[in-house]
Parts: sequence; structure tokens; C-alpha cells
Amino acid sequence: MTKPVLHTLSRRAILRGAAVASVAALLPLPRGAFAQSPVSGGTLTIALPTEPQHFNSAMDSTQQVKIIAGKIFSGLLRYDLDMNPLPDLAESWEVADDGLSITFNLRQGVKWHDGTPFTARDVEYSVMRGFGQNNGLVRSVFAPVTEVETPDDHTAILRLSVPSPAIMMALPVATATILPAHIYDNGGNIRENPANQAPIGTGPFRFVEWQRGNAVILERNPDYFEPGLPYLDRIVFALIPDSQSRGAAIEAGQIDMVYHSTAAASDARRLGDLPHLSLSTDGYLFDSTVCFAEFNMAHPILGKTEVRQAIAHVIDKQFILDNIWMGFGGVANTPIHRNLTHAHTDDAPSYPLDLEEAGRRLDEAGYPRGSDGVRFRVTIEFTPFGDQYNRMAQYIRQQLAQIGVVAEVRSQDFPGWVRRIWTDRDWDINVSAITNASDPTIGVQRAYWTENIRPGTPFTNSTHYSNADLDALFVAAAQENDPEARRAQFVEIQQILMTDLPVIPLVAIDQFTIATRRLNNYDQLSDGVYAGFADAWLEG
Amino acid sequence: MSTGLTTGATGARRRRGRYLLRRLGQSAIVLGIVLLLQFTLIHLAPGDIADVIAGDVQSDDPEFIIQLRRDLGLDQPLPIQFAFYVGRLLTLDLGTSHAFNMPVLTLILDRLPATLLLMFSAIALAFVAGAALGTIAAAFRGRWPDVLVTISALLFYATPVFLVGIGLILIFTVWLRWLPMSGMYVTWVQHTWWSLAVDIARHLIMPAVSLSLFFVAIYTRLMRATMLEVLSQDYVRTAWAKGLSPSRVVLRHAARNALLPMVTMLGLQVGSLLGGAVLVETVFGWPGIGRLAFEAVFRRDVPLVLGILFFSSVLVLMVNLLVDLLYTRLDPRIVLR
Repeated sequence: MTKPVLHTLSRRAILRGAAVASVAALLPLPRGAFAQSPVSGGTLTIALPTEPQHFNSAMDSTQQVKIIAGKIFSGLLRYDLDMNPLPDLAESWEVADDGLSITFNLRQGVKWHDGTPFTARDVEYSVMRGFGQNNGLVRSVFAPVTEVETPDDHTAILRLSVPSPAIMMALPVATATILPAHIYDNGGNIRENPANQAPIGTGPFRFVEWQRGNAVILERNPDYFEPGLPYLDRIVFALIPDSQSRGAAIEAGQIDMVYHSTAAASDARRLGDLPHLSLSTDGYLFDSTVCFAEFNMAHPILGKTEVRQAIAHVIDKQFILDNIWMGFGGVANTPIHRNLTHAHTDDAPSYPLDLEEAGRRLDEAGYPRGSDGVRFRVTIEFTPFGDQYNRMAQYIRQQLAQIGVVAEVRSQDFPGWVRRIWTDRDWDINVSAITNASDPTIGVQRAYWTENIRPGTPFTNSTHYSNADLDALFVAAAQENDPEARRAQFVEIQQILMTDLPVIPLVAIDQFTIATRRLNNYDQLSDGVYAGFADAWLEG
Repeated sequence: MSTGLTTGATGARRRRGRYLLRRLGQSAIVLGIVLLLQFTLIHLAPGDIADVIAGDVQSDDPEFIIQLRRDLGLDQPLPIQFAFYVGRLLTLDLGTSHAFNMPVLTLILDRLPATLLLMFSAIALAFVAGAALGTIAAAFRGRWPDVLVTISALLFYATPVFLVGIGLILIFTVWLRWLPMSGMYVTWVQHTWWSLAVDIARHLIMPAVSLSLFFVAIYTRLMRATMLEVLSQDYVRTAWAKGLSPSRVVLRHAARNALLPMVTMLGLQVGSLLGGAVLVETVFGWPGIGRLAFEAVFRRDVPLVLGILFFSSVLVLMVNLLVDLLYTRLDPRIVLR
């Protein structure tokens, strides 16, 4: 059940960096180091930063929905930390050589929490009308699926019009939630189904109660398809909306876990070093997020490539990583997160901090300093996801001032920001982030693809950058069955993007979890805390 | 003689009835204005619930957003949307929350008890503590108890409520480990009614204290000032001259009369108390209506925002009406008109 200790340690050490690892050697061993055999029982309390509106992660994979839904539902596959697929509802699978069909052999004897047997029809419904239609993040990946054949109750065959290799990387419970067809497939609107608030899944935990504004309670599913699992009796999601309070609560031992970096980053390392707590950045591969400064390509000055390249020279990414993200992540050399090892490259143009070079390039581009020392004025917006984005915007404003570009930072709440960026398009520079998910076809293409210029629709191509060569590469990569050829396409894509610079990637963010040391096996999968916790257990 | 008395009593009752009717009429008008203002204000903020939902689901499908706006009636002109809302409200239908996809009334009733408990605990605490401290300060004017009380009151007045909250958490939860810091009760154990009451009380202490401190400061200063004024009045001098004990003079003769302005203040403060509740509920994860309002605004959930505002306005108006009625009890010289 438990993963080999050595593996845990080495990966941990690599991700934390050598300096932290050497300190870690002096500290108590990471949890799991004494891992005896797992113990059954216990209640795990997880701090929930935001109240979810429902528990249907097939149509909305925000973190507060999927952390809960992931325990109640199952997906077709799980993934180990190196993204190798493992069985979940699918026992085995086979991708045809031409990539045009994928066969899943489903586990037998699985029951929904209401006792109805799980069959291939549930898979068909979920792919064709569940997550395949409603989850914006993976919709494009599943778009080539023309039908799901169900020759018997335990076989589901996806037929594709063109190959879509990203599908095999997009099937964890958190994004590709398998829904009960007998409850959802009734001709009604999926958003209005009452089961969204009282979910019925096949996962290791059953929904018990939603105390609005207070807590969500799940209990062990005694009929879970893996015998003997889960170990935990109960999971309580306690709503704690304030980040300082979350930090205090875990420090005082009143809760067992803070996930997805929802304690103050400045406090996280201190908390992680406390004897009863541990800090982990594992298990967030599906949330691989890169933050960046992006440009409105319609801007008369910022629309010019030379200007954007000049501006790139004023930004010290390492400074941002160390001082704003407190070291949680890596410098982003391209818009593809380094976690996506099958696609990421460092072999792309870079723009080291050099204020003189920046000034020289702006002079050449035809924007010399005026008599008042000012070259031109711009505005900077930032996404209201967290304080870091405000600070990055302020940092860029300060750096721009040094080369004679006067920037004004404006702030707004989430709906206001969405309106401004995608509908009103009244912005110059925007400091934001996008999740790459597990593959660039899912989480990178959408930001640069010409077809995805869709005013009024959030998280589509916001810069209105358009490059026919790049479009062709993205489309080819989305359908490329050969991993080597696909990687080459992604490398070229990154080189083009780092030359044209519609965005300046800043930091490839590592999300962190703070958990009690008594908790084992919560971060051993690529979708870590969002997976089912079937084999997570608490030391007595 | 006796007929005269009866007529007098009936007259008073009739006056009170007319007074109540007029006040209720005024309240309805105020409610309407509040709703209209709030409806206008929330639509002045850019973005709507469709933007929020589309952002949540990261939808790349423009048709999805158009359909969503159509389903929620957001494609109608604003005056028509407002007219529909008021029309439904007149049949006591608060509508459905766009974000939660649930009846607004259910959402509010779920949360209202928690906020009422928090508010009334805080206001009771503030009233009692403020009256006591103010009386002490006035009785010991210029001496060290007065100085101590005045300085503490200033400190309470100047400290932001969320700072008090975090401070209390650090002391009583992280350091001393005496009190639970979040939520209203421990959710995952079987409670008897007694253990539940104790558990809620333990959870209530820090939020109620945080919320009340600001008002303790206000009441203390108000009580002190009024007491000083009352203590200089002739009848108090008479009481001293009669040879009554100091405690009897201060408590029986002076304090009772000094309470009237405090009651006025009580009615006025209910509104700002609701405002403070938003912050306190956020810091302590208290499952009340203040935080629900906060979330509703940030999600542009118009029916929920308006529903909460409707309830809060009714609450404030009712408390003020009660306060006005209470005057006549505290000071029989006051007549309702």
C-alpha cells in the first residue's frame, strides 16, 4: 500500500532543492519514514478555504469542488508521481496503434453509493455529456471523441475522429469525474440536478452532510471496490475562510491539512518545520500553473514584438520567485510548466535582467525618453487570485519606472477583472496565471490559439495573439501519436512563444500542502490531495 | 374620574396603534429604497454571475455563457429584472440563488440563527460591559480607575476588529489552547443538547468578544459622559444630602437615568454591528449571514445579495422600532406621536 520510502525521500529532496534538503536531514524524518503497516480508523479534518456551490467536479473543477468530489467519485485512471497511469474504475486499457480508439476494461462488481451497479453506460454518459461537454478545461481534448461503444457492461471503447494523446493524461477523478448515468441522464440540465448538492459516487467516501457555511462531512464507504479500503472512517472539510486563521488552526492541531497553498506562503516553511507538521509540494501535477505578465496585442505600443522583448529585460524572475512566491516554484523560462517533463524545455530565448539593454531596445523601437524622462504610459491589471499577483504587478511597475515607462496598477474583484480582460478588453498589461493541467494541449494551447480568440469568454486567448505557424503546431501536437515527434513540436512552440512574447512567463508555481505528520499517503499520486484518499491513513 | 382614566388608556392604546401603523408604512418605503439602491449598486460593479461561473468552469464555449445568461434572465433589461424581483418579493418569494442553485430563503434561514446569536451576544456584552465601565469611570472621575478605563476604551475603539480576532486566536488557541478557533460547533461528534450548548458557547466566546470590543468602547465613553452629566443634577445632590450611600446614589439614582442615551445608541448600532459581523465571521469561520453576503457580492449573485439585504434591513428597522417602544417604558414622560 505505502510507496517505498526511498522514492519518497529522493523526490522530496529534488523538489525542495538542495539547501532545504540538507536542513531537512537534521530535522525529524518525513512522515512515512517509520511507516509501519497502515492503521484503520480516525477522522481527517481538512481546512476548506472557500465554500463550494456544489460537488460535481465533472462540470467545474475549482479546487474547493474537486477536493471533496475526488473523495466521493472515481475516475477511470489514477496516475503515479511520474504520470504513469494506474487502475481506478478502469482495470486495464489499450490505445490502438492509430490512436483512433481507446478501450477501457472496467472493474466489475462496483456499486454506486445508492446500490445501483456501475456499468459502461456511466462511462458513456460521462464522456459524451458529462465532463466531455461541461468541463471547459478538457472539453477540447475530448472533442474528437465521436462515440463511446459499450459492447458489454464492463467495456467502454472511445472512438475518435483524430488521435488525441492528451486524453490518456486527462482521466483522473478530479477532472474526468465519472457520473452516475441513472441519476444524471434524464434529459434535464446537468447544472440543475439536485445530486450536485447531495452527490452519489463510486468513490471511497460517501457524502453525509453539508452544513452550509460550516462543514462538509464524508464517511467511509463500506462497499468500496477495493477491499479493506479506505482506512479513514471520516473526512471533515471545515470551512475556514481566513488564511491567517487556517495557519493558526493547523498550528494548534485543530485541523489536519491545509491544501493548495491556502496558508500564507511566508508562514508555510515555519509551519512545515514544526514537529507535528509536514510540508509537501507533491501531488499537484494536474494543477501545474505558470504565472505571467501578458500583453494586450491590440495596444499600439505593446503590440510590437521589440517593445515586449525590451520589457522582458526589466524583470528579474528569480527575485519574484524568492520574494513573492517564497521559493515555492521555479523560474519559468517558457509558458509550459517544468512539471510537464514530456513537453517542457529550457532551450528557448531568454531575456536576462538588463535595464540598459531594455532602454536601448526601446530607443531603437522608436520610444526614446521624452523631456520629462517618460517614454510612454501603460496600465497593469492583476488577477485577484491572491496577494502575490498584486505584488508582482507592483514590482513590474517599479521596474518599468526605471526605464521611463510609467505604469498604473489597477485592482478589481474577480467578476470585474474577467469583464475587463475578456469582454471590455480595456487593459494593457495583465499579471495572471493559467493552469497547464497535465498537458499543453489541455492547458497551454487555449491561451495562444487563434481559434480561441473569443471575446466575452473567460480564460480563452486573452492577448488576441495570433500566429498561423504556432496554430498549425498546436493542432499537430494535439493529434501526434509519437511522443518524440510531439515533444519536438512543443519545443518549437516554446521557442516561437519566447520569441514573440505575447506573455512573459514569470514563475512555474509549486503548490504546497501542510499536513499533520500522522497522515500518510496523501500526496503519492499526481493529483494527490484531489484523489480519493482510499489508502491515506492516520497514525494512532 | 374613572371614565376619564379609561378614555385616557384607550387613547394611549389608539395612539400607539396609529404610531405602529405609520412606522410600518415608513419601514416599507425605506425597504423599497434600500432594495433599489442595492440593485443599482451591484449592477454598477462590472461583471455578472455568468462571468464568474464561466471562469469557474473555464468554459471556452461562448454559447455556454449566452445560454447561462438566458437561463438566469440576465439578458433582460435591468428595470424589467428589478420589476420581476419586486413582483416576486410581494408574494414573499425571494427567488433562487444563482451561485448555489437553491432558494435564497433556505440559504438565509440556514445562516441567520448563527448571526443573530453572534450579534445579540456581542451587543449584550457591549451594553453590560460599557455601562459598568462607564459608571466606574464616572464615579472615580480623574482618578486611576477612570484613567485606566478611558485608555482601554480608546484602545478598543482604535483596534480593527479582525486584528482583535487574530490576536485572540494567537493567545487562546495557538498559545494557551483553551478555545476552538473556527466554526460554531464540532461537527463530527454526537451532541446532546447540553454538550452542544457548551460547545457553541466555547466557539462563541472569541467571535463575540472581538465583535463587541469596539462597541464596548463606544458605550463606555457614552455612559461616562452621561453619568457625569446626571451626577451634577439637583436631584443627585439631594440624594447625597439625604445621606444615602455612594453606591446607592450612583447605581439607583444616577445610572438608571443615564441608560436612556445608551438605548438610543443600541438601536443605531445594529446596522454597523452587521457590518462588523462580516469580518468577524470571516476570521472565525462563523457560519453566519455576513460572510454569505460577502461571498454573494463577490459572485455577483444578485438574488442572494438582495435577499440578505432585505432581511438585514428588516432586522435593523425592527430593532429601531423596538427601541422607540422601549423609551416609553424607561421614561414615562416620553409620548409616542
